[in-house]
Amino acid sequence: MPTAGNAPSCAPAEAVRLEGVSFRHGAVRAVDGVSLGVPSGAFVTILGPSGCGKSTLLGIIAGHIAPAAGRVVLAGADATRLSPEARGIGMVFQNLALFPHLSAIDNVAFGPRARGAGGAEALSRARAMLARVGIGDGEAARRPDGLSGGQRQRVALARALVTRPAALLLDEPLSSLDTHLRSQMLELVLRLHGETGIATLMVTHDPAEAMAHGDILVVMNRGKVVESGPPRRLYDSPRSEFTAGFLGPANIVDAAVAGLPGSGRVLVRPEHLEINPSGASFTRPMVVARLEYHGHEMLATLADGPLRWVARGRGFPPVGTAVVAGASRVHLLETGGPP
Amino acid sequence: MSPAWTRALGWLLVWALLVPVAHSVWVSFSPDMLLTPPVAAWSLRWHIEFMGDPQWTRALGRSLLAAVLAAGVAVPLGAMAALAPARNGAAMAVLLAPACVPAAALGLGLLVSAHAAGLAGTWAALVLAHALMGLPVAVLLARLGCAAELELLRSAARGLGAGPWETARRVTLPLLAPWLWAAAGAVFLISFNDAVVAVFVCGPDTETLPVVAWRQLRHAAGPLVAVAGVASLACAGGVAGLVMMIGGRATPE
Amino acid sequence: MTGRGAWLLVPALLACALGTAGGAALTLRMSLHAPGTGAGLYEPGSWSLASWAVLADAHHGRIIATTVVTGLAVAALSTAAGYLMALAAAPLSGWRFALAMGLILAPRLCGVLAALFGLQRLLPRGWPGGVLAETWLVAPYAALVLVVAMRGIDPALAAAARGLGAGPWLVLARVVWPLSLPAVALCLQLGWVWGLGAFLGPLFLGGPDQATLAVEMQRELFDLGRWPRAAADGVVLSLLCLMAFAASPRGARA
Repeated sequence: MPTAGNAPSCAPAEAVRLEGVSFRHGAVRAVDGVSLGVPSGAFVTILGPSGCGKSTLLGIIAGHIAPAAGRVVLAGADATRLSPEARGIGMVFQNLALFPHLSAIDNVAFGPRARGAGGAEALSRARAMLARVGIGDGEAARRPDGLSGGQRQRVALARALVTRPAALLLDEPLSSLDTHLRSQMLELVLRLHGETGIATLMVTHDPAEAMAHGDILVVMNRGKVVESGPPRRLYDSPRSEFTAGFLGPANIVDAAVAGLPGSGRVLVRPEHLEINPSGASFTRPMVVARLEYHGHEMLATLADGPLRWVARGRGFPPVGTAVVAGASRVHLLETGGPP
Repeated sequence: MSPAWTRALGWLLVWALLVPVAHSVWVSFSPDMLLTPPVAAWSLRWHIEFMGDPQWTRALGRSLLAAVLAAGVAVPLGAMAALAPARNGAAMAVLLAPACVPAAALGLGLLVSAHAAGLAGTWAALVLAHALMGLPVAVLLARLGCAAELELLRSAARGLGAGPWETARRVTLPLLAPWLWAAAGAVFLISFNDAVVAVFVCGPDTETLPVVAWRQLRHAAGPLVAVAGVASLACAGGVAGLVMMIGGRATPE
Repeated sequence: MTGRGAWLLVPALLACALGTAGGAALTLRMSLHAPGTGAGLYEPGSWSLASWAVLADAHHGRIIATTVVTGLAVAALSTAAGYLMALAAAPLSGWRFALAMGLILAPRLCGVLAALFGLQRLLPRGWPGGVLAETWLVAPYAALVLVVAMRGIDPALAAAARGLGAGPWLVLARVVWPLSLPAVALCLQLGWVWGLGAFLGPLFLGGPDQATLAVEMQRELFDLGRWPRAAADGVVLSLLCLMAFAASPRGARA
C-alpha cells in the first residue's frame, strides 16, 4: 500500500492527499513542499524531531492553517479552500483541547449538536461512543478537570470519532502519558481503527511507537518528507542517513570501512554487528570500550581507531578485550546526511 | 473566533470612539472664533495663542510635573507591594480599591482628607492623590513582572551569598525594569489625563491642564480647549514612545 | 518566607486603605457638620443631621434615580461595546494587536476634556447624551478587560470547535461567550460602579434636570459652597457603590 512512487489509481482510494504543500512561519519554512497520501482505511504514522513541521501538517489537513502553496485533497475532492467545519476531519490536539466548561458527555455531543442533531440523539450517540472508549456514565457527567489524564485522552478520542469523520488526525497522543498508560492508549487507538476502519494519521516523535504499528511510516525533518514506506523497510533498508539514524541506534560509516567499493555511506544496525562472526561481509579488529546492561540485552561500544561502533547482544567479553567484529548485513545508503 | 460581522461592528466602534477626539483636534485648526470646521481655510492661531497664554502653559507644566512625581511615588510602592511574598485576596482587593471607587467619590474623599490634614490645594495633596489613583495599575504591572523565574533567580542569588539589598539591586530590579517602566508610563498617563479628581483636589496654585480646560468648557467652550487636547495627545504620545524605548532597552537579553 | 518580605506590602496597603476608607470616613464626618454660616463652608466641630434631612426631598430623589439608571445604562452599553471591540482586537497578534489596543485606548489617553468638547458638539444634549458620553469614557477599559480574558482562552478550543463542525457563530456562542462570562460579569460590575459615579458625561452633556449624584456633589461643593451637603451626596454615592459590589457573587477579587 505505499503511495510514494505509485500513480494514484482512482481518487477515493485515498482519504487524504497532500500535493506540494508549503507553509511559512516568519522566515522559517515550517512545511516545505510536502506530498503524501493516506489510503482509505490505512494507519499512517508521521515521525520526526520536534519542530519538523508535523503538527503544522495536521493543521493544514484539518483546515486551521491555510497553506501558502499546494493542494489538500480529501476523498478525491480539492479541499484547499474549504473551511474547517466543512471538512469532516476528526482531530485530537496535543493538549486535547477539551472544552473546560462542558462535561465529558457534552464535549462529545458538541460535534453532533453543531451538525444539527437533536438533543436526545446527540446525547445517545455521545454516550455510546464514550462507552466504546471505556468511559462510564458517572465519569461522563464530570468536567475535564475532574478526570484523569488517561480518561481525558479517551474523551478526546470519542469526541473526534463520534462525528464519523472521513479521517482521524492524532497529534502526539501519547507524549503526555506515563509509560504505563501509553500502551493502553495505543491499544485503544488501534482497536478503534480496526473497528471503524477510518483512515488514521498519527504524529509522533518517538521512533519505537511509530514503528510498532501502522501500515505506512513517513519520516519528516525540517518541513520536508525524508522517506516513507512500511516501517520494516525503513528500518532495514532506509534510503537516507537521517532516517537510519532517527529510527534507532545506527552505525553509519564510509563504504570503504565496510570493505565496499565506492564513496557512499553504509548502515550497520547494532544487532547485526557480531563478535567473531561467521560468514560476515567484513570484519575489523576492535576493542571493547564500554558495556551497558539493559536487562534483556547488552549494548556494547567498540572502539575501532577513531571510530566507535555500537553492538547489541546477549553477552560480550569484558571491557578492554581486543576482538574481531563484523557484520553480516550491510545496507548501502542512497542519500547523504540530513536534508 | 467569531463571525466577521461582529468584528466589523467592533472595528466600527473603535473608530467611532476616536471621532470626538479627531473632531476636536481638527477643529483646533479652525481659523475663526466660531469654530467653523477648517475645510477651506485652516490656521494655527489658536495653537499660537495657547502657547502664549501663561494660564495654559503653566497648567501644562504643572500637569507634566505632577504626573512625573505621581509616577515617582506610585511605582516604588507598587513594586514593593508586588515583591511581597504573600498573595492575599483581601490585600489585593484593598490595593485595587482606588481604581474601583468612582473618581468623583474618590476626589471628594481626598479633598476632605487633604483639608483635614491642612494640605488642601497643595502640591502634596495633588501628587499623593494621583499616586493613589495610579497605584493599582502600578501593582498589577509590577506583579506581571514578578514571574516564577524571578523567584528562582532571587533564591539562587541568595543561595550564592548575596544579601537582600544586593539581590534587589543586581537581580530583581534589572529583571523588573521593563515592567516598572511600563508602570511609570501608565501612572504618568493616568495622572496627566485625570480630569475628575484634579477638579476636586487642585487649588488655584496647582491647577493642572484638565482643570483649566474644565473651567473653560463649563463657561465658554473656546477653541483653546481643543488645543489643550492636541497638546495632551502630543505629550501622551511622546511619553508612550519614550517609555517604550527605555523599557525596550532595559529588557535584559 | 511569608513573614520576611511582608513589610513590603505595608506602604502601598496603607496608602490605599487611608485613601479610600479614610477618605470615606472623613466624608461621612463632614456630612454630619452643621451648614456654614455666612461665607463659611461648614461649622467646624459641629454635629448636625441637617444635610441628611435634605436628601429625602423630591429633588434628591430624582437625582438618585437618575444616578442608578445612568449606572445601569452605562454598565450595559459599555460592556456591549467593549465586547464587540474585544472580539475585533483579541485574535490579532504582533504589531497589529499593539495597534488595535492603541486605538482602543487612545480616546482615554488624549485629554478627556478635549474629547468631551468634541462630544458636546456631536451629540445631542440631554440624558441620552450624558449616558453616551459616559459610556464613551468607560468602554475602552471594558474592552481592555475583555481582551485580556479572550486572549486567555486556549486558541485550540476554537479550532477544535470548528473541526467538529461549528461555524464562527457557534464558536462564539458555545465556546467564547461561556468562557468569557466571568470577565463580562466583571465589566458589568465595574461599569455599574463607574456609571453610578458618572460625572463628566452628565455634567457636560446632560441637562440641568438630569444631574447625577456626582454632578450634584460638585455643584454643592464649588457652586454653592455647602460642604456638608456635598459630603452627604458623596456618602450616598459610596453607599450605592458598596451595594453594587456586595450584590455580586464575588466579595474580593484577587
